[in-house]
Amino acid sequence: MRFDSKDIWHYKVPTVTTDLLVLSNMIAELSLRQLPCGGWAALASSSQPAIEPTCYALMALSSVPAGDIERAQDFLLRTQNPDGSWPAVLGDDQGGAYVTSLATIALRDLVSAIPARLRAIHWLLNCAGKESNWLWKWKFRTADRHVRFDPDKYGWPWFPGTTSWVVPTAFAILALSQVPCACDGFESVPSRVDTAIQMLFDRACPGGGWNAGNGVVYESRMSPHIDDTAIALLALRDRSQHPVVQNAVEYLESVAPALAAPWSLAWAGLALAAHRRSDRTVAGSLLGLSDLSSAEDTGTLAIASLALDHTRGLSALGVAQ
Amino acid sequence: MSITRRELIVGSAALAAGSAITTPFFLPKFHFDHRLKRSRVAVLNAHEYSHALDQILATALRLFPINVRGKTVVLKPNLVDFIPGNAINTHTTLVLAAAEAFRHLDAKSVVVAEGPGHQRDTQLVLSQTGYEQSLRDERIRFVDLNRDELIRTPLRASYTGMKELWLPRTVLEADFLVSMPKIKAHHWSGVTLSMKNMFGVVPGAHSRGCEVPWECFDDAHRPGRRNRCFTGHAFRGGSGVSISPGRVTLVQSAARRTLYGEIIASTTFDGLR
Repeated sequence: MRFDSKDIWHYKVPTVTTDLLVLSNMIAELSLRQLPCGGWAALASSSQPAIEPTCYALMALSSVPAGDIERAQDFLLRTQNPDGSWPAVLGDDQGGAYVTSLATIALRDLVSAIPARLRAIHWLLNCAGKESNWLWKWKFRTADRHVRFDPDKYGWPWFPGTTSWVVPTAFAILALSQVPCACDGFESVPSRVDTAIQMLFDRACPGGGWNAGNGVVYESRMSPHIDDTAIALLALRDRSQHPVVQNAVEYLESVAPALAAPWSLAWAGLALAAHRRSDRTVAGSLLGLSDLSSAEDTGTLAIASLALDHTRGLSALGVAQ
Repeated sequence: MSITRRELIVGSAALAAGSAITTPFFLPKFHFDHRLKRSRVAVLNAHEYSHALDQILATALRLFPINVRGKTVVLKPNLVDFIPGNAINTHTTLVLAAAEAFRHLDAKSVVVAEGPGHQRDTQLVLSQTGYEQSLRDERIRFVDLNRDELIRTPLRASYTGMKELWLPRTVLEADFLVSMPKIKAHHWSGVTLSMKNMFGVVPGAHSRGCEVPWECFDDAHRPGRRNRCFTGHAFRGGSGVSISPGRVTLVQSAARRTLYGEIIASTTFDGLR
Protein backbone atom coordinates (compact mmCIF):
# COMPACT_ATOMS: atom_id res chain seq x y z
CA MET A 1 0.00 0.00 0.00
CA ARG A 2 1.53 3.21 -1.17
CA PHE A 3 1.31 5.41 1.88
CA ASP A 4 4.51 7.09 0.66
CA SER A 5 2.84 8.55 -2.39
CA LYS A 6 0.11 11.12 -2.83
CA ASP A 7 -1.14 9.40 -5.93
CA ILE A 8 -3.01 6.68 -4.13
CA TRP A 9 -6.66 5.88 -4.02
CA HIS A 10 -7.10 6.91 -0.39
CA TYR A 11 -6.43 10.48 -1.35
CA LYS A 12 -8.55 10.68 -4.44
CA VAL A 13 -11.54 12.94 -4.15
CA PRO A 14 -14.78 11.00 -4.49
CA THR A 15 -16.70 11.92 -7.60
CA VAL A 16 -20.41 11.68 -8.16
CA THR A 17 -20.98 8.40 -9.93
CA THR A 18 -23.66 5.85 -10.37
CA ASP A 19 -23.35 2.29 -9.09
CA LEU A 20 -23.21 1.01 -12.65
CA LEU A 21 -20.40 3.31 -13.64
CA VAL A 22 -18.33 2.31 -10.62
CA LEU A 23 -19.02 -1.34 -11.33
CA SER A 24 -18.08 -1.06 -14.98
CA ASN A 25 -14.84 0.69 -14.03
CA MET A 26 -14.04 -2.12 -11.65
CA ILE A 27 -14.79 -4.79 -14.23
CA ALA A 28 -12.64 -2.96 -16.77
CA GLU A 29 -9.80 -2.71 -14.27
CA LEU A 30 -10.08 -6.40 -13.47
CA SER A 31 -9.86 -7.37 -17.11
CA LEU A 32 -6.86 -5.07 -17.57
CA ARG A 33 -5.06 -6.85 -14.75
CA GLN A 34 -5.33 -10.27 -16.38
CA LEU A 35 -1.86 -11.65 -17.02
CA PRO A 36 -0.76 -13.14 -20.35
CA CYS A 37 -0.90 -16.61 -18.78
CA GLY A 38 -4.63 -16.12 -18.15
CA GLY A 39 -4.45 -15.79 -14.39
CA TRP A 40 -4.35 -12.82 -12.03
CA ALA A 41 -1.76 -11.77 -9.49
CA ALA A 42 -2.63 -10.92 -5.89
CA LEU A 43 -1.58 -7.31 -6.36
CA ALA A 44 -1.93 -4.90 -9.27
CA SER A 45 1.82 -4.30 -9.22
CA SER A 46 2.69 -8.00 -9.42
CA SER A 47 3.06 -10.32 -12.38
CA GLN A 48 3.08 -13.55 -10.38
CA PRO A 49 -0.20 -15.42 -10.96
CA ALA A 50 -1.98 -16.80 -7.91
CA ILE A 51 -4.93 -19.15 -7.72
CA GLU A 52 -7.17 -17.39 -5.17
CA PRO A 53 -7.37 -13.98 -6.89
CA THR A 54 -7.73 -15.77 -10.22
CA CYS A 55 -10.78 -17.61 -8.92
CA TYR A 56 -12.38 -14.42 -7.61
CA ALA A 57 -11.63 -12.55 -10.84
CA LEU A 58 -13.05 -15.37 -12.92
CA MET A 59 -16.24 -15.34 -10.84
CA ALA A 60 -16.51 -11.57 -11.20
CA LEU A 61 -16.04 -11.66 -14.97
CA SER A 62 -17.87 -14.90 -15.71
CA SER A 63 -21.18 -13.29 -16.67
CA VAL A 64 -19.99 -10.05 -18.21
CA PRO A 65 -18.41 -9.48 -21.61
CA ALA A 66 -14.99 -8.51 -20.30
CA GLY A 67 -11.62 -10.15 -19.97
CA ASP A 68 -10.50 -13.31 -21.66
CA ILE A 69 -12.56 -15.82 -19.71
CA GLU A 70 -11.48 -18.79 -21.80
CA ARG A 71 -7.84 -18.02 -21.13
CA ALA A 72 -8.57 -17.76 -17.42
CA GLN A 73 -10.40 -21.07 -17.42
CA ASP A 74 -7.53 -22.69 -19.32
CA PHE A 75 -5.12 -21.30 -16.77
CA LEU A 76 -7.04 -22.92 -13.92
CA LEU A 77 -7.32 -26.24 -15.76
CA ARG A 78 -3.58 -26.19 -16.54
CA THR A 79 -2.64 -25.59 -12.93
CA GLN A 80 -4.71 -28.39 -11.41
CA ASN A 81 -2.67 -31.05 -9.63
CA PRO A 82 -2.91 -34.66 -10.88
CA ASP A 83 -4.83 -35.62 -7.73
CA GLY A 84 -7.58 -33.09 -8.48
CA SER A 85 -6.49 -30.40 -6.04
CA TRP A 86 -5.10 -26.95 -6.77
CA PRO A 87 -1.91 -25.50 -5.27
CA ALA A 88 -1.96 -22.20 -3.38
CA VAL A 89 0.63 -20.76 -5.75
CA LEU A 90 2.06 -21.93 -9.03
CA GLY A 91 5.03 -24.22 -8.58
CA ASP A 92 4.07 -25.21 -5.06
CA ASP A 93 4.19 -28.87 -4.05
CA GLN A 94 1.29 -31.02 -5.17
CA GLY A 95 -0.31 -31.55 -1.79
CA GLY A 96 -3.25 -29.31 -2.64
CA ALA A 97 -4.80 -26.41 -0.77
CA TYR A 98 -8.05 -24.70 0.20
CA VAL A 99 -8.21 -22.96 -3.17
CA THR A 100 -9.42 -26.27 -4.64
CA SER A 101 -12.92 -25.35 -3.48
CA LEU A 102 -12.69 -21.90 -5.07
CA ALA A 103 -11.44 -23.29 -8.38
CA THR A 104 -14.27 -25.83 -8.38
CA ILE A 105 -16.78 -23.01 -7.91
CA ALA A 106 -15.12 -20.75 -10.48
CA LEU A 107 -15.28 -23.47 -13.17
CA ARG A 108 -18.89 -24.42 -12.47
CA ASP A 109 -20.30 -23.16 -15.78
CA LEU A 110 -17.70 -24.75 -18.03
CA VAL A 111 -18.80 -28.05 -19.54
CA SER A 112 -15.29 -29.08 -20.57
CA ALA A 113 -14.17 -28.61 -16.96
CA ILE A 114 -16.55 -31.27 -15.63
CA PRO A 115 -13.85 -34.00 -15.39
CA ALA A 116 -11.54 -31.58 -13.58
CA ARG A 117 -14.30 -30.59 -11.18
CA LEU A 118 -15.17 -34.22 -10.50
CA ARG A 119 -11.54 -34.93 -9.61
CA ALA A 120 -11.54 -31.87 -7.37
CA ILE A 121 -14.69 -32.98 -5.59
CA HIS A 122 -13.21 -36.43 -4.98
CA TRP A 123 -10.12 -34.74 -3.55
CA LEU A 124 -12.28 -32.61 -1.28
CA LEU A 125 -14.16 -35.67 -0.06
CA ASN A 126 -10.86 -37.35 0.80
CA CYS A 127 -9.59 -34.29 2.62
CA ALA A 128 -10.66 -33.57 6.19
CA GLY A 129 -9.48 -31.72 9.26
CA LYS A 130 -6.93 -33.59 11.30
CA GLU A 131 -9.37 -33.91 14.20
CA SER A 132 -11.40 -36.38 12.10
CA ASN A 133 -8.71 -38.99 12.79
CA TRP A 134 -9.45 -41.16 15.85
CA LEU A 135 -6.03 -40.54 17.37
CA TRP A 136 -6.39 -36.78 17.17
CA LYS A 137 -9.97 -37.00 18.45
CA TRP A 138 -8.62 -38.84 21.46
CA LYS A 139 -5.88 -36.25 21.94
CA PHE A 140 -8.32 -33.33 21.79
CA ARG A 141 -10.69 -35.07 24.20
CA THR A 142 -8.08 -36.00 26.80
CA ALA A 143 -4.68 -34.30 26.62
CA ASP A 144 -5.31 -31.09 24.68
CA ARG A 145 -8.49 -29.41 25.87
CA HIS A 146 -7.42 -25.79 25.84
CA VAL A 147 -9.46 -25.06 22.75
CA ARG A 148 -13.15 -25.72 23.31
CA PHE A 149 -14.50 -27.69 20.38
CA ASP A 150 -16.09 -31.01 19.50
CA PRO A 151 -13.65 -33.04 17.35
CA ASP A 152 -16.52 -35.16 16.07
CA LYS A 153 -17.56 -32.09 14.12
CA TYR A 154 -14.96 -31.43 11.50
CA GLY A 155 -14.66 -29.71 8.16
CA TRP A 156 -11.74 -28.81 5.94
CA PRO A 157 -8.24 -27.46 6.62
CA TRP A 158 -6.29 -24.80 4.74
CA PHE A 159 -3.90 -27.61 3.78
CA PRO A 160 -4.15 -31.41 4.16
CA GLY A 161 -2.77 -32.73 7.42
CA THR A 162 -3.91 -29.78 9.53
CA THR A 163 -7.05 -29.09 11.55
CA SER A 164 -10.32 -27.60 10.31
CA TRP A 165 -10.76 -23.83 9.97
CA VAL A 166 -13.82 -21.76 9.26
CA VAL A 167 -13.03 -20.29 5.83
CA PRO A 168 -11.81 -23.43 4.03
CA THR A 169 -14.75 -25.34 5.50
CA ALA A 170 -17.22 -22.74 4.25
CA PHE A 171 -15.65 -22.73 0.78
CA ALA A 172 -15.78 -26.53 0.64
CA ILE A 173 -19.46 -26.53 1.67
CA LEU A 174 -20.20 -24.11 -1.18
CA ALA A 175 -18.26 -26.26 -3.65
CA LEU A 176 -19.88 -29.54 -2.58
CA SER A 177 -23.35 -28.02 -2.50
CA GLN A 178 -23.15 -27.85 -6.28
CA VAL A 179 -22.91 -31.63 -6.65
CA PRO A 180 -26.24 -32.51 -8.27
CA CYS A 181 -26.79 -35.90 -6.63
CA ALA A 182 -25.40 -38.18 -3.95
CA CYS A 183 -24.53 -40.89 -6.45
CA ASP A 184 -21.65 -42.25 -8.54
CA GLY A 185 -19.03 -41.98 -5.83
CA PHE A 186 -20.52 -38.88 -4.23
CA GLU A 187 -22.65 -40.73 -1.69
CA SER A 188 -20.71 -39.16 1.17
CA VAL A 189 -21.33 -35.57 0.05
CA PRO A 190 -24.49 -34.96 2.15
CA SER A 191 -22.94 -36.36 5.33
CA ARG A 192 -19.69 -34.42 4.85
CA VAL A 193 -21.60 -31.20 4.25
CA ASP A 194 -23.82 -31.84 7.26
CA THR A 195 -20.82 -32.59 9.52
CA ALA A 196 -19.13 -29.44 8.28
CA ILE A 197 -22.21 -27.35 8.99
CA GLN A 198 -22.30 -28.79 12.50
CA MET A 199 -18.62 -27.88 12.81
CA LEU A 200 -19.36 -24.27 11.91
CA PHE A 201 -22.11 -24.13 14.53
CA ASP A 202 -19.72 -25.68 17.06
CA ARG A 203 -16.88 -23.21 16.37
CA ALA A 204 -19.00 -20.02 16.47
CA CYS A 205 -17.98 -17.25 18.84
CA PRO A 206 -20.18 -17.03 21.94
CA GLY A 207 -21.10 -13.44 21.10
CA GLY A 208 -22.03 -14.26 17.50
CA GLY A 209 -20.04 -14.65 14.30
CA TRP A 210 -16.85 -16.56 13.66
CA ASN A 211 -13.17 -16.05 14.31
CA ALA A 212 -10.67 -17.85 12.05
CA GLY A 213 -10.83 -21.15 13.91
CA ASN A 214 -12.55 -21.46 17.25
CA GLY A 215 -14.84 -19.50 19.50
CA VAL A 216 -13.27 -20.20 22.91
CA VAL A 217 -9.56 -20.70 23.54
CA TYR A 218 -8.02 -20.99 27.00
CA GLU A 219 -11.35 -19.94 28.49
CA SER A 220 -11.12 -16.71 26.49
CA ARG A 221 -14.03 -15.81 24.24
CA MET A 222 -12.69 -14.99 20.79
CA SER A 223 -13.86 -11.92 18.90
CA PRO A 224 -15.47 -12.56 15.52
CA HIS A 225 -13.81 -11.57 12.24
CA ILE A 226 -16.03 -9.87 9.68
CA ASP A 227 -14.83 -11.72 6.58
CA ASP A 228 -14.72 -15.12 8.29
CA THR A 229 -18.25 -14.54 9.59
CA ALA A 230 -19.53 -13.45 6.20
CA ILE A 231 -17.99 -16.40 4.34
CA ALA A 232 -19.42 -18.84 6.92
CA LEU A 233 -22.84 -17.22 6.50
CA LEU A 234 -22.67 -17.73 2.73
CA ALA A 235 -22.15 -21.45 3.34
CA LEU A 236 -25.07 -21.46 5.80
CA ARG A 237 -27.52 -19.77 3.48
CA ASP A 238 -30.01 -22.61 3.96
CA ARG A 239 -29.90 -22.38 7.75
CA SER A 240 -31.16 -18.85 8.16
CA GLN A 241 -33.41 -19.78 11.07
CA HIS A 242 -30.67 -21.33 13.18
CA PRO A 243 -29.88 -19.17 16.25
CA VAL A 244 -26.12 -19.23 15.52
CA VAL A 245 -26.78 -17.91 12.02
CA GLN A 246 -29.17 -15.25 13.25
CA ASN A 247 -26.64 -14.08 15.85
CA ALA A 248 -23.97 -13.87 13.17
CA VAL A 249 -26.22 -11.91 10.80
CA GLU A 250 -27.03 -9.47 13.61
CA TYR A 251 -23.32 -9.10 14.35
CA LEU A 252 -22.59 -8.31 10.70
CA GLU A 253 -25.45 -5.83 10.52
CA SER A 254 -24.11 -4.06 13.58
CA VAL A 255 -20.51 -3.70 12.38
CA ALA A 256 -20.87 -3.28 8.62
CA PRO A 257 -22.01 0.36 8.57
CA ALA A 258 -18.81 1.56 10.25
CA LEU A 259 -16.47 -0.46 8.04
CA ALA A 260 -13.96 1.23 5.73
CA ALA A 261 -12.03 -1.85 4.59
CA PRO A 262 -13.36 -3.00 1.19
CA TRP A 263 -12.49 -6.71 1.56
CA SER A 264 -14.52 -7.18 4.75
CA LEU A 265 -17.21 -4.80 3.58
CA ALA A 266 -17.71 -6.68 0.33
CA TRP A 267 -17.96 -10.08 1.99
CA ALA A 268 -20.37 -8.63 4.55
CA GLY A 269 -22.54 -7.23 1.76
CA LEU A 270 -22.71 -10.59 0.00
CA ALA A 271 -23.57 -12.43 3.23
CA LEU A 272 -26.31 -9.98 4.21
CA ALA A 273 -27.79 -10.19 0.72
CA ALA A 274 -27.70 -13.99 0.88
CA HIS A 275 -29.71 -13.87 4.11
CA ARG A 276 -32.12 -11.37 2.60
CA ARG A 277 -31.09 -8.51 4.80
CA SER A 278 -30.81 -5.06 3.36
CA ASP A 279 -27.40 -4.55 1.83
CA ARG A 280 -28.06 -0.92 0.85
CA THR A 281 -25.88 0.40 3.67
CA VAL A 282 -23.01 -1.86 2.70
CA ALA A 283 -23.31 -0.99 -0.98
CA GLY A 284 -23.37 2.68 -0.05
CA SER A 285 -20.27 2.27 2.09
CA LEU A 286 -18.48 0.43 -0.71
CA LEU A 287 -19.32 3.14 -3.20
CA GLY A 288 -18.19 5.71 -0.66
CA LEU A 289 -14.67 4.29 -0.66
CA SER A 290 -13.68 6.73 -3.38
CA ASP A 291 -11.99 4.97 -6.30
CA LEU A 292 -12.56 1.28 -5.64
CA SER A 293 -11.17 0.27 -9.01
CA SER A 294 -7.72 1.41 -7.90
CA ALA A 295 -7.61 -1.07 -5.03
CA GLU A 296 -4.17 -2.65 -5.10
CA ASP A 297 -5.46 -6.06 -4.02
CA THR A 298 -7.05 -7.84 -6.97
CA GLY A 299 -9.04 -10.22 -4.77
CA THR A 300 -10.63 -7.26 -3.03
CA LEU A 301 -11.44 -5.64 -6.35
CA ALA A 302 -13.15 -8.81 -7.59
CA ILE A 303 -15.13 -9.48 -4.41
CA ALA A 304 -16.20 -5.84 -4.23
CA SER A 305 -17.50 -6.00 -7.80
CA LEU A 306 -19.44 -9.15 -6.91
CA ALA A 307 -20.89 -7.40 -3.85
CA LEU A 308 -22.03 -4.36 -5.85
CA ASP A 309 -24.06 -6.68 -8.06
CA HIS A 310 -25.00 -9.20 -5.40
CA THR A 311 -27.48 -11.22 -7.45
CA ARG A 312 -24.73 -12.01 -9.94
CA GLY A 313 -22.19 -12.29 -7.12
CA LEU A 314 -24.12 -14.86 -5.12
CA SER A 315 -24.80 -16.85 -8.25
CA ALA A 316 -21.09 -16.84 -9.16
CA LEU A 317 -20.20 -18.05 -5.66
CA GLY A 318 -22.72 -20.86 -5.95
CA VAL A 319 -24.91 -19.56 -3.12
CA ALA A 320 -28.47 -20.76 -3.56
CA GLN A 321 -31.01 -17.93 -3.58
CA MET B 1 26.68 -59.00 40.83
CA SER B 2 27.20 -61.18 37.80
CA ILE B 3 25.79 -60.64 34.31
CA THR B 4 24.94 -63.56 32.13
CA ARG B 5 25.76 -63.54 28.45
CA ARG B 6 22.05 -63.46 27.64
CA GLU B 7 21.58 -60.36 29.82
CA LEU B 8 24.60 -58.73 28.20
CA ILE B 9 23.25 -59.33 24.70
CA VAL B 10 19.74 -58.15 25.59
CA GLY B 11 21.13 -55.10 27.39
CA SER B 12 23.42 -54.21 24.50
CA ALA B 13 20.60 -54.60 22.03
CA ALA B 14 18.36 -52.36 24.14
CA LEU B 15 21.11 -49.77 24.42
CA ALA B 16 21.70 -49.83 20.66
CA ALA B 17 17.98 -49.50 19.95
CA GLY B 18 17.66 -46.65 22.42
CA SER B 19 20.62 -44.86 20.87
CA ALA B 20 19.25 -45.32 17.36
CA ILE B 21 15.92 -43.82 18.40
CA THR B 22 17.24 -40.90 20.42
CA THR B 23 20.27 -39.87 18.37
CA PRO B 24 18.25 -38.05 15.68
CA PHE B 25 16.81 -35.78 18.37
CA PHE B 26 20.29 -34.61 19.33
CA LEU B 27 21.65 -34.04 15.84
CA PRO B 28 21.51 -30.45 14.58
CA LYS B 29 18.79 -29.86 11.99
CA PHE B 30 20.44 -26.89 10.42
CA HIS B 31 23.32 -26.57 8.01
CA PHE B 32 24.87 -23.41 9.39
CA ASP B 33 24.63 -21.67 12.71
CA HIS B 34 24.46 -17.96 12.06
CA ARG B 35 24.46 -16.90 15.67
CA LEU B 36 27.27 -14.76 16.88
CA LYS B 37 29.30 -16.28 19.66
CA ARG B 38 28.17 -13.41 21.77
CA SER B 39 25.17 -11.30 20.81
CA ARG B 40 25.57 -7.56 20.97
CA VAL B 41 22.76 -6.25 23.07
CA ALA B 42 21.71 -2.79 24.14
CA VAL B 43 19.02 -2.32 26.72
CA LEU B 44 17.60 1.18 26.90
CA ASN B 45 14.78 2.31 29.10
CA ALA B 46 11.83 4.39 28.05
CA HIS B 47 9.02 5.32 30.37
CA GLU B 48 6.26 5.69 27.84
CA TYR B 49 5.48 5.49 24.16
CA SER B 50 6.33 8.97 23.02
CA HIS B 51 8.44 10.91 20.54
CA ALA B 52 11.33 10.41 22.96
CA LEU B 53 11.65 6.96 21.39
CA ASP B 54 13.08 8.62 18.25
CA GLN B 55 16.09 9.75 20.22
CA ILE B 56 16.39 6.53 22.19
CA LEU B 57 16.48 4.38 19.07
CA ALA B 58 18.88 6.76 17.36
CA THR B 59 21.15 6.40 20.39
CA ALA B 60 20.81 2.62 20.22
CA LEU B 61 21.81 2.55 16.56
CA ARG B 62 24.88 4.68 17.25
CA LEU B 63 26.10 2.02 19.66
CA PHE B 64 26.62 -0.36 16.77
CA PRO B 65 28.65 -0.05 13.58
CA ILE B 66 25.65 -0.17 11.28
CA ASN B 67 25.85 1.31 7.82
CA VAL B 68 22.49 1.57 6.07
CA ARG B 69 23.38 4.44 3.77
CA GLY B 70 21.71 3.80 0.41
CA LYS B 71 20.21 0.52 1.59
CA THR B 72 16.64 -0.71 1.78
CA VAL B 73 15.39 -1.29 5.30
CA VAL B 74 12.36 -3.44 6.05
CA LEU B 75 10.73 -3.09 9.45
CA LYS B 76 8.75 -6.16 10.42
CA PRO B 77 6.34 -5.36 13.27
CA ASN B 78 4.02 -7.88 14.88
CA LEU B 79 0.49 -7.12 13.65
CA VAL B 80 -1.83 -9.90 14.62
CA ASP B 81 -5.33 -8.60 14.84
CA PHE B 82 -7.21 -5.81 16.54
CA ILE B 83 -8.72 -6.47 19.94
CA PRO B 84 -9.91 -3.26 21.62
CA GLY B 85 -8.09 -2.61 24.87
CA ASN B 86 -5.60 -5.44 24.35
CA ALA B 87 -2.05 -4.58 23.35
CA ILE B 88 -1.20 -7.42 21.02
CA ASN B 89 0.59 -5.49 18.28
CA THR B 90 3.89 -3.66 18.09
CA HIS B 91 3.14 -0.06 19.05
CA THR B 92 3.06 2.30 16.08
CA THR B 93 5.20 4.83 17.95
CA LEU B 94 8.06 2.35 18.15
CA VAL B 95 7.78 1.52 14.44
CA LEU B 96 7.71 5.18 13.44
CA ALA B 97 10.68 5.90 15.70
CA ALA B 98 12.65 3.10 14.04
CA ALA B 99 11.74 4.41 10.58
CA GLU B 100 12.85 7.87 11.57
CA ALA B 101 16.12 6.55 12.98
CA PHE B 102 16.97 4.69 9.79
CA ARG B 103 16.00 7.65 7.63
CA HIS B 104 18.43 9.76 9.63
CA LEU B 105 21.10 7.19 8.79
CA ASP B 106 20.41 7.85 5.09
CA ALA B 107 18.70 4.57 4.27
CA LYS B 108 17.53 4.54 0.66
CA SER B 109 14.07 3.41 1.68
CA VAL B 110 12.29 2.28 4.82
CA VAL B 111 9.34 -0.03 4.38
CA VAL B 112 7.01 -1.56 6.95
CA ALA B 113 5.99 -5.11 6.04
CA GLU B 114 3.80 -7.69 7.73
CA GLY B 115 1.47 -10.56 6.90
CA PRO B 116 -1.07 -11.01 9.70
CA GLY B 117 -1.50 -14.66 10.56
CA HIS B 118 -5.15 -14.85 11.56
CA GLN B 119 -6.74 -11.84 9.89
CA ARG B 120 -7.01 -12.06 6.12
CA ASP B 121 -8.10 -8.43 5.84
CA THR B 122 -4.77 -6.69 6.33
CA GLN B 123 -6.20 -3.29 5.48
CA LEU B 124 -8.77 -3.67 8.25
CA VAL B 125 -6.03 -4.46 10.77
CA LEU B 126 -4.00 -1.48 9.56
CA SER B 127 -6.95 0.83 9.84
CA GLN B 128 -8.17 -0.39 13.24
CA THR B 129 -4.73 -0.39 14.83
CA GLY B 130 -3.96 3.15 13.69
CA TYR B 131 -1.10 1.98 11.45
CA GLU B 132 -2.80 3.22 8.28
CA GLN B 133 -3.05 6.80 9.47
CA SER B 134 0.40 6.82 11.09
CA LEU B 135 2.16 5.40 8.04
CA ARG B 136 0.28 7.76 5.75
CA ASP B 137 1.23 10.75 7.89
CA GLU B 138 4.89 9.77 7.75
CA ARG B 139 4.65 8.69 4.10
CA ILE B 140 5.97 5.22 4.79
CA ARG B 141 5.13 2.41 2.42
CA PHE B 142 3.47 -0.73 3.79
CA VAL B 143 3.81 -4.13 2.11
CA ASP B 144 1.23 -6.83 2.82
CA LEU B 145 3.42 -9.93 3.01
CA ASN B 146 0.37 -12.16 2.59
CA ARG B 147 -0.03 -10.81 -0.92
CA ASP B 148 3.53 -9.97 -1.90
CA GLU B 149 5.30 -11.81 -4.73
CA LEU B 150 6.76 -15.08 -3.51
CA ILE B 151 10.12 -16.67 -4.17
CA ARG B 152 10.81 -20.33 -3.51
CA THR B 153 13.61 -20.32 -0.95
CA PRO B 154 15.67 -23.33 0.11
CA LEU B 155 15.85 -23.74 3.88
CA ARG B 156 18.99 -24.12 5.89
CA ALA B 157 17.15 -26.01 8.58
CA SER B 158 14.71 -28.88 8.47
CA TYR B 159 12.79 -28.96 11.73
CA THR B 160 9.52 -29.20 9.82
CA GLY B 161 10.81 -31.65 7.25
CA MET B 162 10.22 -29.02 4.56
CA LYS B 163 13.12 -28.31 2.24
CA GLU B 164 11.90 -24.92 1.10
CA LEU B 165 9.50 -22.12 1.88
CA TRP B 166 7.87 -19.51 -0.32
CA LEU B 167 8.99 -16.19 1.09
CA PRO B 168 8.03 -12.64 0.09
CA ARG B 169 10.24 -10.78 -2.33
CA THR B 170 10.21 -7.66 -0.16
CA VAL B 171 11.84 -9.54 2.71
CA LEU B 172 14.34 -11.44 0.60
CA GLU B 173 15.47 -8.35 -1.29
CA ALA B 174 15.83 -6.15 1.79
CA ASP B 175 19.35 -5.10 2.68
CA PHE B 176 18.40 -4.75 6.29
CA LEU B 177 15.57 -6.62 8.00
CA VAL B 178 14.51 -5.45 11.43
CA SER B 179 12.30 -7.67 13.56
CA MET B 180 10.06 -5.60 15.80
CA PRO B 181 8.21 -8.13 17.92
CA LYS B 182 5.72 -7.64 20.66
CA ILE B 183 6.81 -9.76 23.56
CA LYS B 184 3.87 -11.85 24.64
CA ALA B 185 2.90 -14.76 26.78
CA HIS B 186 2.37 -17.97 24.88
CA HIS B 187 0.59 -21.08 26.06
CA TRP B 188 3.34 -23.41 24.85
CA SER B 189 6.61 -21.65 25.42
CA GLY B 190 5.63 -19.12 28.07
CA VAL B 191 6.85 -16.24 25.95
CA THR B 192 7.16 -15.34 22.27
CA LEU B 193 10.13 -13.36 21.06
CA SER B 194 11.76 -12.28 17.86
CA MET B 195 11.78 -15.69 16.23
CA LYS B 196 8.00 -16.02 16.36
CA ASN B 197 7.65 -12.55 14.92
CA MET B 198 9.70 -13.68 11.94
CA PHE B 199 7.12 -16.37 11.29
CA GLY B 200 5.00 -13.51 9.97
CA VAL B 201 7.19 -13.27 6.89
CA VAL B 202 5.80 -16.61 5.73
CA PRO B 203 2.72 -15.71 3.70
CA GLY B 204 -0.64 -16.80 5.03
CA ALA B 205 -1.28 -19.18 2.17
CA HIS B 206 1.63 -21.23 3.50
CA SER B 207 1.90 -20.52 7.20
CA ARG B 208 -1.67 -21.65 7.72
CA GLY B 209 -0.54 -25.12 6.80
CA CYS B 210 2.09 -25.07 9.48
CA GLU B 211 0.69 -26.17 12.78
CA VAL B 212 3.91 -27.03 14.57
CA PRO B 213 4.80 -23.40 15.12
CA TRP B 214 8.04 -23.69 17.03
CA GLU B 215 9.56 -25.77 14.30
CA CYS B 216 8.17 -23.47 11.64
CA PHE B 217 9.50 -20.40 13.41
CA ASP B 218 13.00 -21.75 13.37
CA ASP B 219 12.82 -22.81 9.75
CA ALA B 220 11.31 -19.47 8.76
CA HIS B 221 14.00 -17.66 10.65
CA ARG B 222 17.03 -19.40 9.26
CA PRO B 223 16.82 -18.70 5.53
CA GLY B 224 17.29 -15.00 6.08
CA ARG B 225 20.29 -13.10 7.21
CA ARG B 226 20.95 -12.45 10.83
CA ASN B 227 18.13 -10.18 11.82
CA ARG B 228 18.13 -7.09 13.94
CA CYS B 229 15.62 -6.85 16.66
CA PHE B 230 13.91 -3.90 18.28
CA THR B 231 11.49 -5.08 20.86
CA GLY B 232 8.77 -3.30 22.72
CA HIS B 233 7.58 -4.12 26.18
CA ALA B 234 5.96 -7.26 27.46
CA PHE B 235 2.30 -7.03 28.27
CA ARG B 236 -0.05 -8.90 30.48
CA GLY B 237 -2.40 -11.43 29.05
CA GLY B 238 -1.57 -12.59 25.58
CA SER B 239 -2.81 -15.71 23.88
CA GLY B 240 -5.21 -16.30 26.71
CA VAL B 241 -2.47 -16.55 29.33
CA SER B 242 -1.94 -13.99 32.04
CA ILE B 243 1.50 -12.91 33.13
CA SER B 244 1.79 -11.94 36.74
CA PRO B 245 3.93 -8.88 37.52
CA GLY B 246 6.66 -11.19 38.80
CA ARG B 247 6.85 -13.03 35.54
CA VAL B 248 7.24 -9.87 33.52
CA THR B 249 10.76 -9.48 34.82
CA LEU B 250 11.41 -13.09 33.91
CA VAL B 251 10.05 -12.52 30.43
CA GLN B 252 12.23 -9.49 29.89
CA SER B 253 15.23 -11.30 31.23
CA ALA B 254 14.57 -14.23 28.91
CA ALA B 255 14.14 -11.83 26.01
CA ARG B 256 17.47 -10.20 26.69
CA ARG B 257 19.31 -13.47 26.91
CA THR B 258 17.81 -15.65 24.24
CA LEU B 259 16.87 -13.50 21.28
CA TYR B 260 18.87 -14.00 18.16
CA GLY B 261 20.18 -10.81 16.68
CA GLU B 262 22.30 -7.85 17.41
CA ILE B 263 20.19 -5.19 19.00
CA ILE B 264 17.51 -5.18 21.54
CA ALA B 265 16.09 -1.85 22.50
CA SER B 266 14.04 -3.03 25.39
CA THR B 267 11.56 -0.56 26.71
CA THR B 268 10.30 -0.94 30.21
CA PHE B 269 7.18 0.88 31.21
CA ASP B 270 5.64 1.86 34.50
CA GLY B 271 2.51 -0.14 33.90
CA LEU B 272 4.45 -3.36 34.00
CA ARG B 273 6.31 -2.96 37.20
